[in-house]
Amino acid sequence: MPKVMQNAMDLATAVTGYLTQTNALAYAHLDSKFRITQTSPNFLPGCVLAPQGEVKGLIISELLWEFIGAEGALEDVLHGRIPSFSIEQVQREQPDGQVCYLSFLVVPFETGDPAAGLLLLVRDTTQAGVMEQHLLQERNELRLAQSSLSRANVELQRLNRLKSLFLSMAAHDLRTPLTVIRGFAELLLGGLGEKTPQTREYLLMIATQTEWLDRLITDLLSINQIEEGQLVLQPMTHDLNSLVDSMASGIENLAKTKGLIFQVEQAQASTAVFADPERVKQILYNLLGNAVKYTPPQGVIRLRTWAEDQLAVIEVSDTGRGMTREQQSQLFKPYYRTEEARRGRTQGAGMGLYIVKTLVEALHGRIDVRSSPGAGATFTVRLPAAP
Amino acid sequence: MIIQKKVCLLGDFAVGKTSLVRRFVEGRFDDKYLSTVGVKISRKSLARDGHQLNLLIWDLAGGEEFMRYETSYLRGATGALIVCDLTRPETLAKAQQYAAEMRRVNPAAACVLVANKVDLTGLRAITDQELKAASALLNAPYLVTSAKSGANVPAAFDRLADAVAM
Repeated sequence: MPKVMQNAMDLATAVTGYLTQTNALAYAHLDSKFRITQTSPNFLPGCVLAPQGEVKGLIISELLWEFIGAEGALEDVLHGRIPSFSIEQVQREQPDGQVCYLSFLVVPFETGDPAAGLLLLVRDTTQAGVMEQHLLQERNELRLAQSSLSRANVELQRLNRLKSLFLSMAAHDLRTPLTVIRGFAELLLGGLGEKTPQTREYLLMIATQTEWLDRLITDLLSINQIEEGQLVLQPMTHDLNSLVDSMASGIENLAKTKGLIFQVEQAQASTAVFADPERVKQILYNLLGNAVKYTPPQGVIRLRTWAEDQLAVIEVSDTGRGMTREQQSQLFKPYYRTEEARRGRTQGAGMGLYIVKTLVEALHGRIDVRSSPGAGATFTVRLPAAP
Repeated sequence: MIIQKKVCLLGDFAVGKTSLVRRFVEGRFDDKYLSTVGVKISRKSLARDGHQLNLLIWDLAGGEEFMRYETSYLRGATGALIVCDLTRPETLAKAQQYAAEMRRVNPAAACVLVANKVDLTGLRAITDQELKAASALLNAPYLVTSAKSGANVPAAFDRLADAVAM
């Protein structure tokens, strides 16, 4: 007679010990051939198996699928080659459709005595399993979302590169004929016989507008460079007054076409600034261009420069419709246009002031705006003066 | 005669392991993604050479979950479907690790590489060439499947059954 049968009390004591240690729900004793010899009364319901009669004498894998293929592992436990064998978190569906989780642990019934067989402990780990499932579900869904976002990001970067390539090619292709038009317009203005005042006016308009188009192309390329993080600056010491002089006539012509008065007030002494002159011009063209756009006929646009505490200051003011505080807070964001600008006929993409701010900051300067509805706007740019 | 064989489904999380089993065993598909914790065991009987072959299919959790109990789960398995998701290239790289683990525990195990979710045509991110290369590396045939449409799902399990029944 097997030892286990000889002393039922020993079995109960051993099992109780294991139950306490492992929080087991049910148990079965297996002989050395893995046949069930003894079970706790709750073994079948505990394993979520409908009661199916006598299980004593069955090989464990005949009752529990989990042990099909596990014979080698059970042999190892029996002969002490491994201390235990476990199958954790086995998901089972209960007769009512609810999911439960069970964990199986097999240990030697008596260490060093294979003939004593094995003890199988079954724990109900549903609570932990369900909680783990919720956590895992959330984590995996988050990871899937991350993965999907990361793929979308790669695709967006690819499209952005294509857009940049298109922009730079388009800008180059636009600039070539524009340079020719502008060159011939200036040639005609400067010579080649007598011209009527009307012809001169038309030629001037062509020259001014082509120069303006050229500025727009520069802005397009700047957006590209800003987005790519490849803004190119060539700072040098130059005189702000000379720079303003070189572009004043162009702005004046533009203002005239809209019936605006353009005034320039420059510092008495020359104001040396340390910045990229082409970028400073770009800043001024954008600020003055906006002033022209948003100021109604008979209005006044004023450009002032002065020196102040190691800074060169440029101020552009207009007598246009002005802005609310809310509008001012959005003003330097890309693609921002006021509701009035969107509704009105004023053309633009809302990138001008974004470019201006980016350029000013790249030149280690600062830009401020003062405005109120109906009272025009004043933009003040402060750039480092040359040492 | 009845032959019983334990086989596993291995692969990264959300590649469709549970959906493949459900399609094969129950003939249905559910679009809702439910992460598997631990293991779910299903049984499917097939006829092989005049015998009944019972496949005990261990659908194991993917990702780090798998690593927690891998050895005890894999012990005694005679084969595995190594599953990757055709829309997520990283799951093919992970498939190599799962196959290696399977063969470490069961050196003679048969493996079949399954590239799932072929129904998501616009999102496919793994080419046939990449699958061929992975298949050669794993020394495992590969099949392109869809648990959603059922395409090639029985074929994948049949391939594994043929290999483990031998």
